[in-house]
Amino acid sequence: MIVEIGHFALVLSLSVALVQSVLPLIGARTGDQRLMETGTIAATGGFVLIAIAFASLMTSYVTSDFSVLNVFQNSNSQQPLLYKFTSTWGNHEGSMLLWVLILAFFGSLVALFGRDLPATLKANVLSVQAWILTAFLFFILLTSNPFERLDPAPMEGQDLNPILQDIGLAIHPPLLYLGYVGFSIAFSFAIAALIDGRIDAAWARWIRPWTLIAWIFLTLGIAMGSYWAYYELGWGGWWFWDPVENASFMPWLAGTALLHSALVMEKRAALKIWTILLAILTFSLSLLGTFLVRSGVLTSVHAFATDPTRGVFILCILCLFIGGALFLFALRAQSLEGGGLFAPISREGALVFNNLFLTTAAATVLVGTLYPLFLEVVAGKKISVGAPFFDLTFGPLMVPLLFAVPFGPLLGWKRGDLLGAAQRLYFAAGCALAALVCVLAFTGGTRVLTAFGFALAFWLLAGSLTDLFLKAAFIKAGWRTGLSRLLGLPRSAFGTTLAHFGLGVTLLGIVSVSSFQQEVITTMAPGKTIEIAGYTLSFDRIDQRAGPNFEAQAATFSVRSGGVEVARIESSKRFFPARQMTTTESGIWTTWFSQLYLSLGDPSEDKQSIVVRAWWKPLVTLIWVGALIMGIGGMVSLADRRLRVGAPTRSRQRAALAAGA
Amino acid sequence: MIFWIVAAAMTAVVTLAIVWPLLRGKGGSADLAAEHDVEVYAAQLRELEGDRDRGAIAEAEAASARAEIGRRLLRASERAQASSAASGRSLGRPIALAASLFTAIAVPVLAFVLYHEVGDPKLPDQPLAFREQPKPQGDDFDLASLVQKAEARLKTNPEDGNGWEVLAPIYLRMNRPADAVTAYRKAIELNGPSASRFGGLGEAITETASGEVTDTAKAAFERALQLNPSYLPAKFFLALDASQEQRAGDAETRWSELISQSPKNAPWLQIAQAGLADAQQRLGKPAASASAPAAPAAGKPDESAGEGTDGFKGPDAAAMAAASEMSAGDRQSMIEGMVANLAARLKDNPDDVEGWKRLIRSYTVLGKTEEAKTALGEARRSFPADSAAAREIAAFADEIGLTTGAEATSR
Repeated sequence: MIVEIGHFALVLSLSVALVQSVLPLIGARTGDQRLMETGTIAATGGFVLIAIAFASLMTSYVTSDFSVLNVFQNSNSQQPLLYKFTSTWGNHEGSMLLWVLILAFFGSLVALFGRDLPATLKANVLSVQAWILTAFLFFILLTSNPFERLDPAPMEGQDLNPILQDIGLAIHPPLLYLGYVGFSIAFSFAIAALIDGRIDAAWARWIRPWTLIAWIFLTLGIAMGSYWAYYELGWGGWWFWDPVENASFMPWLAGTALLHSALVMEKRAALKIWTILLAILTFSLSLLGTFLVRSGVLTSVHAFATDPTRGVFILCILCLFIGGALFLFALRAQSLEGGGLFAPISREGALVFNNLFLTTAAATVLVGTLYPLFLEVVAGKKISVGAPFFDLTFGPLMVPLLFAVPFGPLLGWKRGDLLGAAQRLYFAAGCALAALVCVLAFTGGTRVLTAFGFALAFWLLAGSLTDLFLKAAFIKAGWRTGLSRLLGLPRSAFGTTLAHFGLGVTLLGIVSVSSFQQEVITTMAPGKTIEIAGYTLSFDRIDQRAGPNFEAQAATFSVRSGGVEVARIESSKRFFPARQMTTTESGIWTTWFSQLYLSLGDPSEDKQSIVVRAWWKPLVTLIWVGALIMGIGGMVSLADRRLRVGAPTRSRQRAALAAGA
Repeated sequence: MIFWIVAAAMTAVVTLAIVWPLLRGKGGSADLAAEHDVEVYAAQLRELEGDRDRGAIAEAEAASARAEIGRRLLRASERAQASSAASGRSLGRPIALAASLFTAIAVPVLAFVLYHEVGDPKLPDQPLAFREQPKPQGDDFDLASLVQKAEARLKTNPEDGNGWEVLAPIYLRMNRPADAVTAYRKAIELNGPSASRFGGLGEAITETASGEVTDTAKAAFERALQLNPSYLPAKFFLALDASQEQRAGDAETRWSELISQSPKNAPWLQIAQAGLADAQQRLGKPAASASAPAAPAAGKPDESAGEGTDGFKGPDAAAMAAASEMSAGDRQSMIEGMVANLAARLKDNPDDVEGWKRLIRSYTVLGKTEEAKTALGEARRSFPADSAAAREIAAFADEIGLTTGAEATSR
């Protein structure tokens, strides 16, 4: 019965979403408070219903109820409990259910925390949110129903794809979806403003925290996904420019741009129309990402999502929402009121520069991702656009942007002093120069590009700290006053610094690992040793192990430095009988921020030796540590008191108005 | 019943919650957007001072920004004043009533109608614990852990022929045909050849090939028949092979021989009769076994006769035969599993006309008319209405006398 209750709750949530699509909108048009209020309840109720549906599906997974087709196809009674939970969204139907759950979750957040929003704006936002919800609930119920049944239930299920049997599945998709879907709020705000034909001042206040929340989750989600691919696939790479990765990276680039333009809009009421367009584009890229991943037009490392017929349905949703939104934008954009003025060299100007480069970068990635598909459709040729394309296009776009990052916070609003800002960055410039010289000296002057990469990273690191350091005025005011001034700064200033610093950390990791990585690929028999990056790696033994639902061949290596054993690394290959698949479990030893990475290849013909791939990856973890710092920066910025200003004194104001009348 | 009570309660609660504010008499006035604007501009002015104190904006620019914001603030508060006089307006009671009526009707009707389309309210949950209870083998019987123990034993003592022999059919049942092949080979190697071992090996190979009797499988079945000329499962698969390769004459002989030798309640009888009818129709003879109710279901050759091997095959048939050595309950769940496999495959790849026909036929053979109809409906939806594939499906449905009710009349 639990299954069918969940199924019914899902269906019921669709009819609630339909009501929510209509009533609040009418309420907002006619100014009827009661109709607008239905949106709040419907959004909350819809979320509860979808949560019931999701919980019921999860229950089926945990109890291995194979009378549910989806459970039968994607789990196995032998799986460890954690993977029974995560199997819920480790497949197409379940992950779409997670998608709408998060969509409804964000809708209910607006309903509950949007008390200070102008009522018409809130009602419009909730209605637009319900349109998206309705479309995707129809998609789920008509083409990807996770509650389809089997009777009688088979004895054993077909197991979850072994690549997904990892703690990464527990974290990565929910984070990524929170990011993807979080941008729907920005989208709904944009559409609501276009429907209303005017942008409230509160609009700008509200779009930024929502964008920030989505951006934080997306940042962490992408980083998590990257680390997961890094250790699970056993290829030793951390980013493959795979279309599925690009699908999440494009909304990130656009979302980062949105974050910055929303800042201008919030503070200076400028860039209004551009911000609206960016909000539409960001969520459109999220939808495009959902389409690319869910429709199965791609065949890639994320091979678990494939079904061509569903693609058409999502494509229709995609066209409806993106096309409709852009049409509305074209219709209404001219009638929107422009905002504050600013000189080209100013904080606003710097943020425009940022937007320009980020959106161009997003467009580049879009071309690189869609062109092969386009060519396949038109010419029937299958090509792959890989790292070389992106290195040549995306890379050069990033260099000026990264170079400009430290300038932004140092420029004044409206009209800034570029020369003054440059002078204040002398310390950062010194750091960069030192890094340049050091790297050139270490490599004997052969690695000029590498040296510039390091210089750029240190420029970012030191440059982002400069802003805080100067604002606290340590040098002028002394340490004690400086410290108290530092603590008195708004949290968003810390957020900016942390996010930009995190970017520098990530860049340092990328530059370091792509320049100084060492790789040894060889066949080894137990007892043999190899040398890598000053460590002696010896292959001790290989043995068979039995896991809960797999069998493993585990190879143990010991790492010696100067004759002293410093670590043991175990790398294994797992065979999953239920799916007849083998996965590679890489062995990783982390020392400081660097890692020694081992993965096993195929055994030789006589089974005496096995192919071993060993990598030394200097500072590789900084790539993800940096993303983590960026995420923390976002959270700190979100905690800024300023963002809570909306209409706290409304009642007082109302009373004053009433008294005046 | 409890399900319907819970479902009705959920619907009622949700509907009432939405309708509640509509019925709550006169709604309060909507707070005005202009009031919010005033608040925000005031906050912006306060922050501007903060920025100026920290030096984030120069004095002259701060002054002009203050003027900018001040102008907006003034305009917003004028608007707020003006519209506060007109505020408090809300639609009349009739419209609120209409909205609540709409909600009260639309939410439940839509939910129940849609659920009726997609739901399966009578089907109870069947969690693992529940499914395993009725096993007679004892309180803590757990097939999977038994298999694991047996595997561990065989790992240390791989020369234990009886161990392999016990494990092999269990593998087959657990949907691990490749392991079953290995186990049967081991059993033959260690315990010597026997009809049942070779028959089992053939079944396992057939299952690894998704129900197609390959040449290797055929050799195994032939070996089984050499060892025991009256071993019926092997005869079944050889007949199936003949059907699959569309050797109609051979198939007819083999099927009729199998039917005549089988006991009246043999699980494969329906399939055998269907296969016989299929072969006879290919030969142009009238179907002889009209008395068997399920026979006409599979009694027509496929439209794609020219395509070769795609004739009479499928997991249903393979499962049937594999099931011949199982108890009734196990057999049923095995068959269901195989059919479910096919259904799942079609879900991923619905362009497979032959697959759909196979699935529909499987359901009809199993006597599941409802499922057959659903599958037929799905198959129709998978293709454009006027495509060749859709026509083929429709023709096929007519042949086996199956309609989807409303859909059939509308076409």
